[in-house]
Amino acid sequence: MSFFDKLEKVDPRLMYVLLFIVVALPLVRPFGLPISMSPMTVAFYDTVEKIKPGDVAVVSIDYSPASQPEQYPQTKAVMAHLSAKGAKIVCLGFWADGAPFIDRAFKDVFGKSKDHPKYGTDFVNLGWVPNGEVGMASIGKDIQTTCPKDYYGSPTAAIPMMKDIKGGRDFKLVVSLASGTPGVPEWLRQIQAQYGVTFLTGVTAVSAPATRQYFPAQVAGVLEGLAGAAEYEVLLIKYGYIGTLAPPMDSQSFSHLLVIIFIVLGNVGFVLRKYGKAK
Amino acid sequence: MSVAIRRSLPLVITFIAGLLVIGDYYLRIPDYNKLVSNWMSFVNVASSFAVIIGYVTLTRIHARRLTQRKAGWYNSAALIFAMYGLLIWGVFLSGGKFTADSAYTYWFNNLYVPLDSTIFSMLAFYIVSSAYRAFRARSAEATVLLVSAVIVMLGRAPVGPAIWPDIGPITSWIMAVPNTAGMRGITIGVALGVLSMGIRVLLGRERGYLGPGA
Repeated sequence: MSFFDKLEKVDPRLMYVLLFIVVALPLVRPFGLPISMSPMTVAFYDTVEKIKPGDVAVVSIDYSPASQPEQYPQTKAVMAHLSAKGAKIVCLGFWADGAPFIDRAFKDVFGKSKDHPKYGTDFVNLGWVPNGEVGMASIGKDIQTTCPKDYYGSPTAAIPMMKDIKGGRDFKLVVSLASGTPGVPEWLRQIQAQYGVTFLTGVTAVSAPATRQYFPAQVAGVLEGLAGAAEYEVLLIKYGYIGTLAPPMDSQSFSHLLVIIFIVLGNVGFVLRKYGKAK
Repeated sequence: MSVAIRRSLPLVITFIAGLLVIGDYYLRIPDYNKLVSNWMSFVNVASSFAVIIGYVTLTRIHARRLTQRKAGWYNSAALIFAMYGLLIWGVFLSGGKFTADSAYTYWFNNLYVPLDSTIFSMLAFYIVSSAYRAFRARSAEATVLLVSAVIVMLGRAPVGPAIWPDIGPITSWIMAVPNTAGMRGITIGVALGVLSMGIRVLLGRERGYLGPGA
């Protein structure tokens, strides 16, 4: 096998080992590369900044544990920002295995969930809403009938902040942290278009290209994957928010570099072999 | 029930249900809007029964595999154990807290979440290997794809702007102009297809959803 052939046929096991090293090393010893700002994240932040105390913000957890490393940091940052703006936060989820993250996020952001003194007045967890897009249409029409009890079993109608929240017309903002179906297009069809609600989303990096098409008319801002969450954390520093994503972003940087190095090596081998044959 | 009724009844129900929901978008009649709201709650409840069908089907498939000791039978045993274990715990032993119960949450956070995240994370290894093999400058189109991919990969990680500050705006342009134009074209095409399919379903021209022979 010639040198060029070797460049084109690197053993995958070598790539796996190198990838493991470049991902793990910055987590153990972060490099602290500066995080730049995407226009999508700035638009997201600016939209939340316009929220006034008492405005109703629906936060929907539409992802599963598979995308949790990317989307859970988005969830925490969104809740912290909305809370800082004094919004009434209504949390729910259309993915059965995503809804438990709401309780966890309450504990991480507010310290407690249902035992928190502000539970029911400033934030509420309505848990999983079944049936995807039909469920979304249902909460738009009548959220109290669709979700008769909160996640902890209390009647929704008896929760103080829910007394004036009947459906889509009462929502000021919807934030869907979504990684598939039901997700962004379903929210746009059933809530944003029908009730004219301002809509924001946080998605996995792989979904970002498909989500950008709705910006800015339907989607006012997008958090794109881990990078979007890290950028958002930087913007929230002024609220005293302590981010955790600098080391993972270093890992992402070096893993991207590794992929690019292998792509370049493969192409060098490919072009030189082709050129050599033509000669 | 005659064959004619058996065939036409689902079509009539579909037509009425479809018109009911479409009409709700345009009409502001409180009683009518309330009726549609109740109808959608009914659909939500009715659809939830699909979970029972899912349980029965999964149990039949995996119980058979388990009793016949087919290859990988122990995976089926784990599935049945986990499925019924969490069901029994969540419904009967949680004291009415269901998934908010601390034991249920413990298993969710410490077993399911790490397992699911790990499986998804494994993709990173395959992505590196497949990107290395797939991104070859074999043609002009492949070269454009390759160059765009490298720019976006660099531009969306902190290391890109650290090496070359102008890569950020270039990345944003790629994402905002060619990517968005392509995605919008696809989405509008799909939407037109969905619209025509919806009309065909409402008019009874498309009967695939009724099953074979409809």
